Amino acid sequence: MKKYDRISCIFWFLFGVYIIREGYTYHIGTVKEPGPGFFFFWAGWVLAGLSVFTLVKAHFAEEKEFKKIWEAVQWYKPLLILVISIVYIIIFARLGFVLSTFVLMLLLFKFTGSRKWPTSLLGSFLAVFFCWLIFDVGLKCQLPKGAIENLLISWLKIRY
Amino acid sequence: MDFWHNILLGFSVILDPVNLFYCLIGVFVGTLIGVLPGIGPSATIAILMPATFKASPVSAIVMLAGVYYGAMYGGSTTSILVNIPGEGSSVVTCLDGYQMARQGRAGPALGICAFGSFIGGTLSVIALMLVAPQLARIATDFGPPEYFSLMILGITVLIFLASGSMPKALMMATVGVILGGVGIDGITGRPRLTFQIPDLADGIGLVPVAMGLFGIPELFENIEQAVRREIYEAKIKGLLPTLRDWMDSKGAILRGSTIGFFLGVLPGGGAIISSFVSYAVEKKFSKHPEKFGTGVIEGVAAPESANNAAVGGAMVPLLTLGIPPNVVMAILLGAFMIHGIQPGPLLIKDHPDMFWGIVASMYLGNIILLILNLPLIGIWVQILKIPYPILFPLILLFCLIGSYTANNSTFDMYIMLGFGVLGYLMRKFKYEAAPLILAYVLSPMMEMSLRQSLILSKGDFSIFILRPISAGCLVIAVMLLVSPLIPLLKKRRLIPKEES
Repeated sequence: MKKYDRISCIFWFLFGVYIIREGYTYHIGTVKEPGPGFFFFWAGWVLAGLSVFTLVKAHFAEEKEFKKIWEAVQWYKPLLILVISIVYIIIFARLGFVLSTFVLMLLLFKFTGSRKWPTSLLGSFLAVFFCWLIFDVGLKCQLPKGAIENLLISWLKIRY
Repeated sequence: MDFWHNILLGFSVILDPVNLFYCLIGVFVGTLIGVLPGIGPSATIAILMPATFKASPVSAIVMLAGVYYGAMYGGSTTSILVNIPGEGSSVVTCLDGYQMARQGRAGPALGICAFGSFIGGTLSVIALMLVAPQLARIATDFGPPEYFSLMILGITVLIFLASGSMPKALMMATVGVILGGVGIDGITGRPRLTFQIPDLADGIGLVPVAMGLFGIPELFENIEQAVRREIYEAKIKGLLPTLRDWMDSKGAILRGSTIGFFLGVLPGGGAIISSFVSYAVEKKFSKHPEKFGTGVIEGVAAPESANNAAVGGAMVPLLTLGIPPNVVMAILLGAFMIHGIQPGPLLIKDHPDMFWGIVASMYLGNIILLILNLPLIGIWVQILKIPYPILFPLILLFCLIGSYTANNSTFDMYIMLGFGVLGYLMRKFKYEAAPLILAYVLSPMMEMSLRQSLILSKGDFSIFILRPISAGCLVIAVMLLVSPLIPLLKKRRLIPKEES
């Protein structure tokens, strides 16, 4: 854990230093009249100080056994899900809720859940339908509309 | 007279069909996520929060509170049948609950869990009803220094109770304080850490942060390793405990309920600690402590009563002081704020329908849970068999859509994913998310109280020490922070003595 503590402490130290700088630029003010940067400035100092303390502590700590945090885990699965989710957010507003969500669910069921094609297709369809029912119909949330939604709306308009 | 009038008001609020429906949904979802290992009440409340935006504030809070105490009921099912705790608060239930199941006594174990939870939950609601109005009356005298010190104490206790390193927990609380300050400054109107992004002007939303820090890491951790669950397959019979079981458990239930309530009230306490403490106390009180861990019914009754009683206890500081004693309550505080209600000493006076409605919903919710948990146990066992590869895409979808619906913004979806990755890395690097989220929620109030106190005292920090309540809170906070150093100092003093 020593190695990982060092990495994380350096990260938090740099973040703390950045916050100190930001706090300073926002105007710290005085103790009698604290400015908008007062809280940030001191919080940054506390964070930087604590990260140095933990870094020093980690440096002198004895480590009985070094264990890799990525050992025995299928780390590519969270990564794959992350990539799929980012792609989903990108296409979400462009393609609309129905199509983008169907693609997302299909990818998740098929490639990360290792389901068969018919199960994945059916699962994706049901997930999209119930999600639409809950959020769009039930909770009146304005989900982005794409080609499929517009087609459905115009079809309903013609019919009724 | 007033008291009964208020009770009636509460029941008239909760018996409204819409509120009743939300209560039912809340406790049902709570039990469901309690049964399913891999998703906790914090994540669920965060995920469900957007679903309450169109509801009235009372309905929303009733539902979200129902998720919390419903999860306490459901968590025991997996502990007993699978030996995997559904919630952190059900970890100790595994010790004797699973042993009872292996001895063919899964029915009485589940039964006493449900009854113990019901009794614990109901007793704690009675205590909440009696204590909260008195505390709210005292809290009206609280000024900014008292609030600041009390919030410092709340965060400190949570840091003190952190399972990992205390400096790391303190770091996370500081990060939470910084993140909570993002957005336009309440006093000067100056934007801070907004990077000229309009979505950040109102700060980072609680919904994507909470979902990201609790929902996504749980999901990632569950899919990165394939864990096989072994479910108790035999038919579950005899859910009603026998007279002997009742005699063995009655003391445990009462002691567990008392411990649970008081530990729930304390900042940083909550269901998990209550269950552990009540188990330890029960073992000490027992005539046969050596049998604990082999399948004794007291070992199941005490922690289950305690974790439910802790929910009522935790409501006390939230509803009367506006200070959440634990993470779930911090998220619930966020929900109150989203609905434009500030919990605190004036809540009972200004929104009696809200306060008494919540109290009444907890009575009713406990009854609903008893009905849901005993006759429907077969359904919960079947739900346990749903494979995770089917569940996780749905959880992810709810996280993504939920964070979008908070502000109809895809930016919040990115925020949620970003905090998801941060939360996942924090787990890997052994940093806890609980102090972060609590400090994040309290940060705006803390900053405001600090600045107001300093303006009031003309920059004199002694304002925090000269006021007794504030001084008391700060002294306890300092003592808690310093206490881990005492054994080290003692050890150092002993070494020279031994050498001499």
